[in-house]
Amino acid sequence: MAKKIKSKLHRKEAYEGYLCIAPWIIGFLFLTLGPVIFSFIMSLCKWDMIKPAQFIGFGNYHTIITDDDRFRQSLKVTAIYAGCAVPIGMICSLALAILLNLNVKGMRVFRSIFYIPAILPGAAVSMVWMMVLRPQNSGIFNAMLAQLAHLFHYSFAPIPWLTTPEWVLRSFIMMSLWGVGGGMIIYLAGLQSVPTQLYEAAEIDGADGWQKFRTVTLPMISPTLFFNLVMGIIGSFQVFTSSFIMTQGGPANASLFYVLYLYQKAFQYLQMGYACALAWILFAVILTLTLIVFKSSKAWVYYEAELKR
Amino acid sequence: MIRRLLLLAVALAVAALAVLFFDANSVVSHLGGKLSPAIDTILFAIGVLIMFVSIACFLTAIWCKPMPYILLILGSIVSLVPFLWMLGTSFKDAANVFLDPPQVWPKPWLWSNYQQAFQKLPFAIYTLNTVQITAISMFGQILSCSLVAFGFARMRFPGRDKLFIVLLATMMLPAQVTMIPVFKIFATLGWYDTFKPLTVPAFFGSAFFIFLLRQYYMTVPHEMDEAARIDGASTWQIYSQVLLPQIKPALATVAIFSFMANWNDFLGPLIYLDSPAKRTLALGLYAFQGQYSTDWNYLMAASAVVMLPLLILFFIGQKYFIQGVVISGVKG
Amino acid sequence: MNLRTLRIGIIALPLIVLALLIAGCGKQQPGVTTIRFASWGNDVEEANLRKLVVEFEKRHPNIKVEIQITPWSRMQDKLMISSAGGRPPDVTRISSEWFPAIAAKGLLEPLDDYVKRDHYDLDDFYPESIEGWGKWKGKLLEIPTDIDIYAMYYNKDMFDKYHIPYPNWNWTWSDYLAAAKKLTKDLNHDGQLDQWGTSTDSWWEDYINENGGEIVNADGSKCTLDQPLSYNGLQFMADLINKYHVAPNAEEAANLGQSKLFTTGKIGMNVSGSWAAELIYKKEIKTFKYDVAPMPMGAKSRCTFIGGAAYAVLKRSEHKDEAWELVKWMTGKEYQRSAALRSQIIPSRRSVAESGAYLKLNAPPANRKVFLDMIKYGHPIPAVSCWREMEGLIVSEFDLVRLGRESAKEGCEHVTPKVDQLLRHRE
Repeated sequence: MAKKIKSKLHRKEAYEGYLCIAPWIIGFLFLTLGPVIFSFIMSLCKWDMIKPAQFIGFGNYHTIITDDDRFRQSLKVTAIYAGCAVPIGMICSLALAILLNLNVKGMRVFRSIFYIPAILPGAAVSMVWMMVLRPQNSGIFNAMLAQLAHLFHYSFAPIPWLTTPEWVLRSFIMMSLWGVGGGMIIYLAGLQSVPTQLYEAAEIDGADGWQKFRTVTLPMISPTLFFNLVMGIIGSFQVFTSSFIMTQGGPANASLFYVLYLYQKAFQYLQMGYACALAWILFAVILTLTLIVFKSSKAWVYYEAELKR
Repeated sequence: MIRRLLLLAVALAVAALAVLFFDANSVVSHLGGKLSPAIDTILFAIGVLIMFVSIACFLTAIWCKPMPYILLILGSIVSLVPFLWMLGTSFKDAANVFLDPPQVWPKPWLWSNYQQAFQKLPFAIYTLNTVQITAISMFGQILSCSLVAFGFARMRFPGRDKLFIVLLATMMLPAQVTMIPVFKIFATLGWYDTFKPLTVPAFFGSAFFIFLLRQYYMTVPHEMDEAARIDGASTWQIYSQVLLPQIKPALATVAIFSFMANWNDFLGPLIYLDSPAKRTLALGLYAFQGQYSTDWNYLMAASAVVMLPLLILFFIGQKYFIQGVVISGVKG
Repeated sequence: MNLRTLRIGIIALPLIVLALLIAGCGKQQPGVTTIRFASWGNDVEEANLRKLVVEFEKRHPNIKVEIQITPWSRMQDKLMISSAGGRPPDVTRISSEWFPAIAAKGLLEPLDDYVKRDHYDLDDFYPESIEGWGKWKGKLLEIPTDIDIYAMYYNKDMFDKYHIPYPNWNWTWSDYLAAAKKLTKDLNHDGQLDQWGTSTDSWWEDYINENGGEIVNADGSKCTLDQPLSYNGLQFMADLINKYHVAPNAEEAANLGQSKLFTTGKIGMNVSGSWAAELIYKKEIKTFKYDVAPMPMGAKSRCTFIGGAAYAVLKRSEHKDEAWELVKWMTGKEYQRSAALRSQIIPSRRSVAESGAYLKLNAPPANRKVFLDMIKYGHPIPAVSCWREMEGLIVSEFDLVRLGRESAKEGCEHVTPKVDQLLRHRE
């Protein structure tokens, strides 16, 4: 009898549980799982959403890999961007977090100043940077650099930030550094969670600033480093708004980010099947990189819990 | 003392090396070669990293008490430059926007730019649209995510943990994979050029917020639930009257992040909205880049106004921003 | 707030929200069809369009027109995405530049039957415009509404100052170069040029075509830029910048743009379109007199860019008859006459163009007949659907040629396989 009541309760709870998560389940089926399957099938077709789709097997993938210069270029641009912006960004945000963690007065003000750029709308940010990075000395960056060079008696040629292939990617990397505040906050929290006894123990052992950093701080925040690395890679592979608004991929496709190329194929040329194939390749690349980071994490990420075994 | 001098020497040497990397192009062309822009950028980045080493040595060499302040102030100034320049330009007269050398203080100072900017394009309508989309989405997210997270955190049902892992897995999926089929689904439903594709999905939960809220639910002690159950509360009542008030900070975080995501969204409105009357602020800014020439002073004024709500939100709810980032980062 | 109110609130709120969402869908008056008309335009153009639409609505009380103005650079995207999304505009103004792409995708409704049914006077139109961007694979897909033709604007005062005869129909490339050289000066002797003879901003295609080269072959299957006739023509343009220094290079031009350099009197000659006079020069040229001349004769021929706008009905429109009425109105004689009078737009109808409306306008450039005479030398862009992508590739490669980093031959040889790749994958 007790068992019957218990199972009845269990069923009621299960029923209620499913009801609770029902919104997500419906959303998952119609907005995630269904589209994923649909997307894969479409990547095997030639489709423009107007005429019916034509099945072409792996034709899209074949073209992408063998006969598409812009694909290779976009992958290169995005990879270089990720490879540069992520490490430099991590170093900058960690450095800022360390500085802020030194119990400076006005820490909140500094924290706000550095964090706010990370939460501003991409469209507005792009407009502002387009103004700031104007070639010739009418752009404020060039003007400032010119003044600085003047101080040191250097002659300064204005940097063509967004108008030459060499500098355009560097400009985007620099723009990404404007938003290091996001990572900084995470590192700050990580730093604050390092138990002070460890630092004291290290000092007793005669460690100085750098050694404390290497032997105590770094290992203790390695999970945070790991998280930021993964998030940084995923995020940098999905840059779109700034490149769409500022350069549309130019000059000479030097800022043709992968997602911008995907957008162009999908919504400017209506080659939807091709774009779906591009999306799947993007997924494969991100997944591979993430797995590599995950696998390597065993070597350098240190979880406190593991030690307590 | 010797150590400091040594470090200084190292810093200078490394800096010289970095400069080599910065200007790799000219070095190579002296040797008769040519570098592709790609390799050039990589070398430039390596140069930047090497420069960091040099800076670190330099700083350690000259370290003193006020050093953190000096660095932070320098960093703040650099970080504030774009922002301040935007504000300055928004008050300038059109002829003074691009002077060489630039005009630092707007003379004449035109408050009217803001009014003019809003007349050039119907920004009032755009604001209304953006507010509408954002408000509905926020409401939908809070409602659905709190409910779903409650289910995952408190309810027991077969497959719960496996489904949760599926939820986590969806966070790894890049949005671009589903973007096109979802567009087709909404197009077939006739929802193109309406706000629905931007607001309705919010009512079905978002993996990140569900995860965040579930973690938070787990920190609420079960005693409260059990006490309420003994008092005869139904599950719905436990959710709405017992737990929901308890997770208010996390809900605030979800509200803020949802606001941010919707207010800043560009790609969504770009592909789903067509009529000029339906544009959001982000699209409005983009449309401001005129036909033949852009009025930069008005554009900066409009940009400043678009940024304003986020600034206000940040100053009011600073701790919720930080909290949200921390929960996702440190515990993720 | 007790439980009951909470429950009611939670159920009521989504319903209210839903109601708001549904209410967003507009109300329709019975018997009135609303059609959407998409176009680009700045303030002036938009005002003109609205005036015309008001006239149209007076004559057709059962049709209401909703005008949607989108930036020019977004128009092609908008037509593509909205067609894919299922709700394209009914009528659109469309530029000859994206016409091949849109036509190849099958987004436009063929108009041959409508023309026949209403005895529409297609013969009145310049055949170059109909062939150039009205027809696609034999079917009439849009009605051209105006013609953009490029010719050489020049700064009369500058020519007078240095006693150089004005450009005329006998000019060849060497005359052009000679005049440009005389006009290029370093006025304040600071080692940097402040005044240039000409600009190279627009229509590199002309340099190729006048030399006898082509961008693609006849059926659009192969890129022919790597032929000597093509790249030698381009080399002349590059030489103007880098060898003879008679045109500003990218850095010198970047701040103001070559158009502004011309309007502020720093460039002597500027190839631009017939639309520039009204839309740009009227406002911005205040300090000198200007006029227009034909393009100089190249090695093989005289060519110029020809293109223009047109009106089309979208295939997915649900109100095609009403849309066609609007198209007829916007391409009718009255509109073209008033457009010519108001904004110096060259009508696509011969009757209007050659009547007083356009020719007798009392505004510079005085020599406007040049534009009409150049129509027969018009060389439209290649009719390939991937033109936009192609143009992007070619222009970015040619940026390097302009910068002097590679010769025109190298640039063309680099870009030809890439263009071939695009042509292989086109519709």
